[in-house]
This record gives sequence, structure tokens and C-alpha cells, in this order.
Amino acid sequence: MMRTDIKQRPSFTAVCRNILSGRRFSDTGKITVALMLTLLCLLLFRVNSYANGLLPSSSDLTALAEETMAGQDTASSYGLPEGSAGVSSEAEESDRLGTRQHVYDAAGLLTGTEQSYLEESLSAISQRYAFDTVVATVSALEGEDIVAVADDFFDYGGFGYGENRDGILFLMSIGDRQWYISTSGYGYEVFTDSRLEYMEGIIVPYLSRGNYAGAFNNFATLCEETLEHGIDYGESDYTDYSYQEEERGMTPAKGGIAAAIGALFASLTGAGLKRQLKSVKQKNTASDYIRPGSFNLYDTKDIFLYDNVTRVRRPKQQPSSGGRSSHHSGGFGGHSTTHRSSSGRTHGGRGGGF
Amino acid sequence: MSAVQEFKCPSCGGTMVFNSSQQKLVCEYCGTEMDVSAAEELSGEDMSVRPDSMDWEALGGSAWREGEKPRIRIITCASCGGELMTDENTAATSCPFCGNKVVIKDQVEGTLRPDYVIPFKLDKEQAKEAYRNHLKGKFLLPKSFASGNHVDEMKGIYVPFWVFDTDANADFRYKARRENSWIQGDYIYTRISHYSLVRRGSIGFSHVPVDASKDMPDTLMQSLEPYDFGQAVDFNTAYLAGYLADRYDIGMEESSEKANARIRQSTENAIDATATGYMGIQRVQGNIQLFNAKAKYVLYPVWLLNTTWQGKTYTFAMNGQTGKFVGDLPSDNKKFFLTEALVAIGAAAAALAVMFFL
Repeated sequence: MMRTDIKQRPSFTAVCRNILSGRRFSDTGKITVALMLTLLCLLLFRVNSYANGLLPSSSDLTALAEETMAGQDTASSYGLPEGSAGVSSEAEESDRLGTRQHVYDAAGLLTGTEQSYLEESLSAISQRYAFDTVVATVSALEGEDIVAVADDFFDYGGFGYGENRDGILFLMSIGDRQWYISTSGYGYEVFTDSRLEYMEGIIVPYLSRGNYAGAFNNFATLCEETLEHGIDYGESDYTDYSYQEEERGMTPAKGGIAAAIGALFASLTGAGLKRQLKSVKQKNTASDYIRPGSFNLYDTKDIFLYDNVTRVRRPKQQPSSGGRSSHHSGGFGGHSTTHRSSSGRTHGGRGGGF
Repeated sequence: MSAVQEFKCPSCGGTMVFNSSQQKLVCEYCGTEMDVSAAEELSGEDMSVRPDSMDWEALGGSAWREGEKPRIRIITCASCGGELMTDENTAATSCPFCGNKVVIKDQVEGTLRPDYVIPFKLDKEQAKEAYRNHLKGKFLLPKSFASGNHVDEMKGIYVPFWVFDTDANADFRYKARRENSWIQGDYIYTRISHYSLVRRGSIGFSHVPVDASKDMPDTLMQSLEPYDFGQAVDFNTAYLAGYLADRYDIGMEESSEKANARIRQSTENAIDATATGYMGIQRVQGNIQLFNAKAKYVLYPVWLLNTTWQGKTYTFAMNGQTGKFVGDLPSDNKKFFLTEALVAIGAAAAALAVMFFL
């Protein structure tokens, strides 16, 4: 009779049992696995929140802007005058601009409620100060310069009140993790370099934490305060109001951290209890048997061999304004750096990564 | 001074040559560099590289004395082949390793007489008590484990050891560096200074034990350490009365390798600890010479208990001199998993609560 040896493969349950009993993994191995699982959970949460409305990119934004323009054309074909025509009454213009959108969330980062809340406040600010305040998000810039994309969106989208197209646009690309504030008309007078720098300091931490609604709400409030106080506005009494309400309650990040803490405690407890059962250990040294006082270091020499001196240039502080060709543009409160966009209009602004 | 002088590399002992483009001496073998001034300082040094020398002189074991042989009884286990030695008056018992019957064999030939013995200081009752204490307070230990085993099977057995005495002489070399940086003008300067460290020292070891019985797992015996050799006495057959003694079946040569490894590790630790005050310290060369290296053949007292639970054998051992009790215990996996899950949920909930109110 033939005898065949079949190699026994461990069954799935046996492997699970081994893993649970720690036979396959050392204690540190288990901790690592737990932490990795937690990170994976965190990642999934984040991807999930991005995926909510994913996908449009800067080309979609152009489409959006074109759509807006088309709407405007329709408006003008209905007899509503162009902004610079000079014949428009103020009331007519604010009608035209008052009904249009101020939030273009092409990257889908905001929930419906967040979006309508933001739209409401931006629209109110825009009408009250006759100054377009706009927020736009894209999922990717597709290699284009964020400054150009922002300026063109503002110019060709037909934003801005009056002859000078007064307004401000906050553009953010989630894929590139970049943001840019483009100012136009009265905007680059009142949003001075130092003011924009101050705004950056408040807004960017929200972006970095992934709290986009918080960033945009702060942007709106900062705009309102700047416009309220005019160009000589000081930077002292702004209160960062949305932090508290935004960060309270349950967020995916908190869930992840809690899971990580849970996994860590569990593996530490488990490892501790397992260690109680183990008392047989290998000894690799003979330190128990060193004759007391027998260690005698009778010769030590530290011999210098050679030196090697290298030098690197000290990093310089980068100038912090986003201007391309800059010139001083007046105002009493400070300096604004401006540049020219593809449509030939002048914009101010500031941007960066997060 | 001779016209041609040879400089030895402080790292590897190779010959160093002057490199004109670097204006330094460079080792052709390992790439170590040094300034000419350092070479002069080193020229008086003995930089030769010696191999380790870790040989032992066996004092261990001698021939049986006149009149001793008739009093020694050799017994073998028919089942596992274990060979044991006992006193003529001790009744035949079961094998301490596998529990089967043992057979008495009469000749003592071919065996060595132990040099020393540490007599049992703790009796069977104390060993049983230590076993019960060993099982206490172990949360994950399955409940059924304790009830199933036969604590009366606890056996006192003399385990053969080779013990090694020596002085180790170490000659180690390290390469190391120091770094400092400063700012001058538009530049950050970093100076890296390279050093060769020499550390020579000696260290004495007494009675490093290596278990000489194949029946005894090495790690189990190492876990029972240390024994206090100060209480060892010259061997006398009388100490075997009522106890079994395992016979050595691992020779001194083979055992000495295990002792050497431990002695080497301890010597390295001791010498390495004196090379301080630098960055990137790395041992490049080192040899250990043993002096006065002597091995002895001794018997150490061990209480041994073998027990089977769910088809698996668990071995427990107690140091018959100090009472140190060792032996790995099984784990209740269901209990383990439940505990981990509960702790994880509890800690996560607590963390969430804290974060929610912050």
C-alpha cells in the first residue's frame, strides 16, 4: 500500500488561536499591529470624508465659472446692465449680485448644512459691504498655478462690485493642499499684507486639521471685521469664535485616537498578564558570576585621528507675500502687494500650503 | 628612527599608507583615515590583532575513589533512556523525566566522580509549597490546570554542571567621533573629529555554570540561577542517599562554548560601558584572552516536577538551594481574549469621554 504524506496546513482557526495566544507575535509585535490597525481606521475615516463629494477639479471650476458667466449673460440679455456700464442703479446691481452664489464647493468638502450656513453669511457680508466675498474649493489644480486659477476664477466669473470689481476670493485645492486669497479693487487696499498674514495665522490651522467649515467660517468673519473697520483696522479684538463649537463632540479623528488608546491599553494589559505565566528565560551573560571588584581597566587611550569641517549656507527667511510683480498700492493702514492677472486686472493676495 | 616606518591601522591592524591628495594616512583595508600627528602618537602602541583565546583546562571530574564504587548504583529508564545515579540504599523509583519504571544497572565504569556538590537545603514539602505559590495570582492560568497535576511526583535530583572559573583579558578598539557646529557669517560650520579609542581591561568570573545533562533543558536550568557556590562541599556519596543524580552526558568542551558566549557578552558589556563621551561609538576590533581557565564537575540540587495537561508536558523546577521556582504555565485563551477586548473597550470609552469634555 502506498503511503502519501500530506503536509498539514494549519487551519484558519488554529492560526487565529495562535495569534490570540500570542504564539505568533511578540508583545511588541502585537502593539505594532494594533497601532497599525488604528492608523488604518483613521485613514479610512479621512478618505471617507474626502470621498463624500469627491472629484471635481479645476477644470470643473472653470465650467462652474463659465456657467456663472452664462447666467450673467442671460441677465444682461434680460436688460440688466453690466457692472461698469455706469447706468446701473445701486439697487439693480445689488440685486444682480445678491442672488448669486458665494460658495463653490467643487471638492465637496462641506456638508449641506455647512454649505448653506456659509453661503448665508458670505451673501450677507457681500451685500452689506457691496464687496463680493467668495469661497471656492477644487480637488486638484492639475498643474496650474493657484494664483492664476484664483484670479481667473474671480475675473472671468464676473465677481466683484462696481467699476473696480471689489471683492475677495478664498480658493483652496485639497489635492495640492494649497490655498490662496485673491483680492480685487477695494479688496487689495483693505486686505493689506499684514492683515492677510494675520488671517493666515487663524485660518491655516483649521485647514491643517481638516476642519474646512471652520476655516471658511473664520474667513467670513475675518472679512466682515476687516470691512467693518476699514483699512486702518487693528488686529487685536478678533475672537476665534468657531473653534469651540466645531471641535466639540465626536469626530473621526477622536474615534481613531480613542481606538488607539484602547488597543494600546489592551495589548499592555495582555502582555503583562502573559508575562506572569512565563518564568523560563535564557541567560546570555555571566554577570551573576563576575568576581566582585575584579574589573580592572588598565589601559585607555583616546587617539585623535583627523578633523573634517564642512559648511552649509544658512537658510534665509523667505519673503512672505505672494506677489509676482509688486507695487505699493496706497492706503493708510499698510502695504499691499499686488500683481496682474491674465485678464489684465490687478489683484492682491496671499496663499500657501497647509 | 628607521627610514621606512610602518603604521598599523588602529581599527583593523592593516598597514596604512600616506595619501598625498588627502594629506592623510589611509588604511588600504578598512578605509580608516588619520592625520600624520596621530600616527606619531600611535607609533608606540601595540596595534597588532590577536585572535581570541578561550581554552579551558579540565580539572573537572576524577576517578572514583577506593570503596566508593559499591555504594553507587546506576539506574536507567527503560522508556526514555535517562541514566541516573543514586546511593545503594535508595529504593528504585520512577524516572523523574518520564515517570516510567527504572532498572538498576550495576557498573559505575565510564563515569566521572563529581568534584563538588551543593547539598539540598530545601525539602520536598517546601518544594510543593513553592509550586502552589507559583500557581497563585496568575490571572490567565486555566482553572483546571492546578487540579490535574500530581504534586507528589515532585522529585529531588542532583543535576550535573560544568562550572567555569577564569580571568578574561580584553583588548578592544572602537572608532568614534565628536561633532560641533557654529555659525559664522552666512554659513553653518560643522566639525567632525574622528577618534580611535583603545580599552584594555581584565575581569574575573567565578563558577559560571553550564548544565551538563541533555535531559535538562538549558533555559530551564539557566532560569534557576544563580547558585551560591560558597555552600558547595567536596563530593561524598552520602549526599546521594534518598536522591537521584543525573549523569553528565555533555562533555566539558561542548559546555565551555556556552560558558564562553556568556563570559564574552559580560566582558563586552563591561568594556563597552567605559567607551563614553563620543558619538557613533562602534567596536571595530576586540579580542578576549582567558587566563587561569578551569572547569569543575559539580552537582547542583534541583526539585523537578513534570506534569501533563491537555496533551502537553509542563516542566517545573526549583533551585534546591535558594528556592527559586520556575516553569512556564499555560494560558486560558478565551479569558485572554475577553480581557483584552474589555480593556480595549473600557480604555477607548474613557478616552472618548475625556476628549468629549475637553
